[in-house]
Amino acid sequence: MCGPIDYGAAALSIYRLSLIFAVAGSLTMWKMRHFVIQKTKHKMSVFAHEPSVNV
Amino acid sequence: MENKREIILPAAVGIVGAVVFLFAFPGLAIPTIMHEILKLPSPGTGFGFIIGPFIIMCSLVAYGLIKKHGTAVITSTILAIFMPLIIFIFNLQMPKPGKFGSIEFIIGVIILGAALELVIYLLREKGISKTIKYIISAVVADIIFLAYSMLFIFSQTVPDKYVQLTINKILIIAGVSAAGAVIIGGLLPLLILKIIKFK
Repeated sequence: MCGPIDYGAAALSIYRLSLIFAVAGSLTMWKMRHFVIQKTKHKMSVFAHEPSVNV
Repeated sequence: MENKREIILPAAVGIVGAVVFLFAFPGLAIPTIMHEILKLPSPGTGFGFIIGPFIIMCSLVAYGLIKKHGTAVITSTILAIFMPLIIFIFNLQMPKPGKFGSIEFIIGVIILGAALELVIYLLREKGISKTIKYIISAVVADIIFLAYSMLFIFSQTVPDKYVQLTINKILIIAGVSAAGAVIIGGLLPLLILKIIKFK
């Protein structure tokens, strides 16, 4: 071991890292919202024009 | 105006990087995670797997935004200056063996930035893809930073551990550091740049 240990600091670090990733992920989703909406609309329009299947 | 941006943006990335780093890894978190939880050999794994790649990530994000030579050195220097400043202002407790905020640490970070800059400059030919360029420069700079920290920091702070280093331990530390450099130092900045530039 290199120096003293502190499990509290390690737990706090893991918690803060997950917090950072959560914030970064949310910001990414927010930035890409137009792209996601556009893709979803395109997908829906494709389904709307799909010919009905005769069974 | 363009010159101002070339200084302000890397400086901002360096300051934000220093704040995020000290927020994400408080106190003795790095040595505890590296040596107690992950059971990786000491000394140097924290430097090679977390600290070095994190600084490389900040430098490469700034370089990717400006695309001018010298950006990586400016970013790492600002980060190296602001990290001890924040530690001093908020009186933060940091791992003693790493000598955070000391002159040796600051010099190490500047050497890391210079090494990164040199490798980016040497790989400036158009034939190499951006991903390969970032990964190679991150790994080389991180290994140089690791070697510097071993020789000039850990040999003084933990001489008993330094003497006990075997070839196997060195290979494990270098391998873990290279993996950290590829993921955190090489691929993560590319992802961040892709998200920043996404329209």
